[in-house]
Amino acid sequence: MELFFEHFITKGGYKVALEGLLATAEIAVFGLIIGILLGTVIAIVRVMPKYKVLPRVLDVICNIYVALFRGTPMVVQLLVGYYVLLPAIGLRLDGVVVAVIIFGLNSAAYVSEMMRSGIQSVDIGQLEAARALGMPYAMAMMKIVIPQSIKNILPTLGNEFIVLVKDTSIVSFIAVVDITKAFRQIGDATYEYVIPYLFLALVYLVLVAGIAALVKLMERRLKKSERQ
Amino acid sequence: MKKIISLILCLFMLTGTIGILASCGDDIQIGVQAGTTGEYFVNGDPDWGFEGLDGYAAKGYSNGGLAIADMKSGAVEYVIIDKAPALQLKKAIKGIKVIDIELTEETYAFGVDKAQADLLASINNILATEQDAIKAIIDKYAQGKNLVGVVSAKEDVSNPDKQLVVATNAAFAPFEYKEGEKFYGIDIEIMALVAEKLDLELVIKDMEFDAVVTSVGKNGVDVAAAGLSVNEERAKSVNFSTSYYDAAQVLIVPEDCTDFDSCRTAEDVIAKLDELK
Amino acid sequence: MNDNNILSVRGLKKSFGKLEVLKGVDIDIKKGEKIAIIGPSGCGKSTFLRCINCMEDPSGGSIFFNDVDLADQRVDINIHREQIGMVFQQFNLFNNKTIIENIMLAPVSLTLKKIKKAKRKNFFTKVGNIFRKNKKELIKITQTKAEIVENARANAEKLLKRIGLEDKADVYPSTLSGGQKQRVAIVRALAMNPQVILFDEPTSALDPEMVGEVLDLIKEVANEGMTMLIVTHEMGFAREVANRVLFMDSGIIAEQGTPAEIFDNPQNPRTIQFLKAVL
Repeated sequence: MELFFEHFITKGGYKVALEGLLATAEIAVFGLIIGILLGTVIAIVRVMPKYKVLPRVLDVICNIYVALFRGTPMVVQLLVGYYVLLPAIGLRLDGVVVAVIIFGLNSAAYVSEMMRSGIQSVDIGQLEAARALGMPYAMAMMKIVIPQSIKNILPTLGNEFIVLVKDTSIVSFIAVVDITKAFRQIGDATYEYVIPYLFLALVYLVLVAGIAALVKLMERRLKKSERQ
Repeated sequence: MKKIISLILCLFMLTGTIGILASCGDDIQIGVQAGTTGEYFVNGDPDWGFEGLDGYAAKGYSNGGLAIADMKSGAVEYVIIDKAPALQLKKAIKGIKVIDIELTEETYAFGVDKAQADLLASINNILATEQDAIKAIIDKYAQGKNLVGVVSAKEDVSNPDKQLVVATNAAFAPFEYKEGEKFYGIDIEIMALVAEKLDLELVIKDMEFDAVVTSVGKNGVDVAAAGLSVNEERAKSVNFSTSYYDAAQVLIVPEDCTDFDSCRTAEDVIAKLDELK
Repeated sequence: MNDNNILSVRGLKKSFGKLEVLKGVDIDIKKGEKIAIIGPSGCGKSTFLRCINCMEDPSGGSIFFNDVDLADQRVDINIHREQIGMVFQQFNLFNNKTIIENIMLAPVSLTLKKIKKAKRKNFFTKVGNIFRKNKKELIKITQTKAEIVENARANAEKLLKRIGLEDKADVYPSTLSGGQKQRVAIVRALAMNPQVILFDEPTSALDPEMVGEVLDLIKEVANEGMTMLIVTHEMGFAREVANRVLFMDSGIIAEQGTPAEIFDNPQNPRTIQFLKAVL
């Protein structure tokens, strides 16, 4: 215990932990934002009426994309992205940026499935009314259907965010220091892992509880706004 | 139809049972750091010239400390790891014993990006001209005094020519380890010396040991400095510098284990292990 | 084509899978006409209405609206839908928008979209003009975004005042009664200044005491000269408002005429049977 606090406080471990927390937050938040944006686009493609050729081709592409990203572990996607794809195209990016991109792409696959069921849960009459007023499909989706479906799937989106926060522990594979790495480092230095890992678990618990409370608050707000 | 399905199911169960029996029933587990010489020494590897320990299997950990923890809880029987880290572990952890017999002969060197021949030449040059300084670094880590911590510069993706990017796994004292934001260790201080001589900023990328060699030449990593033992397999991915340290694998056992007390040579240890399986 | 006809439907067919719901509907509708469409359930009257603005894509035939065939896949249906209002049985107010936003949304966003498009076109014209001898003229943009929003808001407030719901402007639809919702839905359609309004059983989902207020509003709109097609079960209302009544049965128009002709002196045995059952 004393050894842990010596490394955590006197030797500056808390600074690394704060940096790690920041990296964890960055990766999870921006990953989720990319995930929601891209996931929404994919969901729209998948629920789009398919009379014409283009939507059909897009649908096939989206299906492959979702199968690919849901069918492989995120750590593999991260390793392939960082050590295979990026060098292959000769691009050099910061590890955090790569992590954000991979987390975003991965989360898009999951969010698209949630969003699809969210869209299908919105009464078809909402879309029809918007179309009948002359709004194009995309506009009707963006202004009417998607906002309502996001409200419906807010709890599941909250869960996805929690999953992302917890999954950030894999980014040490590409030399990014996240909150897990920060605490493991103290264990590595002291050869004593029980205390650092207990503290780490505590940090995650607090984070997840915070997110859960936030999601609940947003839900209540949204519900209230329609009952005033 | 039902008969066929039940037959197939039976077959699966049978093969499953056999598989489980074969995999963990016989082999005794030895803890190692994943991807290191120790792992190949236990499992055998033609590239390294190791025959492997018959009746033993390596269990890879991301660092030596975790392997020791598992040995104390009984999940692995022994731990095989590089000698210098083993002595470091001995100092920090009670209840273990290092069998001070060198099981292998190997040397550490830095792994340089194959595309940068001049960097390799510069590093070799510095290793040759600064021999005294390097010996001093190694000595002071043996004594644990006057250690200099190094803070990694922020990686500047747009300006790669101004920086020396080093890949390491900072869980391998005394060669590399981290306290707070500062990196310490023999490799770290040598690399700091190299960066200073070449007038470059030192960027240290701390990653899993498995990833260290593969990362060289990708995403801007110039050198791997991670107590890397020279071998042919790794030489396919990196150009090794001249070596700066003679290393060996040693066996770590629980303190109350007296089986190896009579051993004098590596052959004795291997014979003893063979006897105990 | 007769210039007086705002809508001309020719041989309109619609199938859902193997089920043929519309088997060839022909009708001409003049500007200002009020058409009531009656018939037993499943006769295809709602489907017919929904085919007119291509809510359901027709399987065959043509729908000429101001001489443009809406059934043609190459026609940009969105532009024409702005001119064809629609009122649904289930009101379909946008749940995520306040009442005034419900009315303003389409006029504002569609106008802004057009301006954006015009600006983009102007940009290319300008670039092209550098190389042209006789300069092409730019599209004039007369309104700013703020003006568009302001105009739409003023119009929406006027419409809400007209139906006596100005105090409900900033609440969400879930707090309104069915009758109030349907009246908002009607003025939402009016806000686009359409040439035709399609009413798809506008009172069927209402509690009986609210039917009157909705029918009164529709009558008012009718008296202002709006062209309208109304699918309805309210025979009294059809008789009072419509100047032509269509009786549909099994996917065709079985009989049509003035309300007096259809209600007092039906010719087709199916019409007689139907009216006997409902009156």
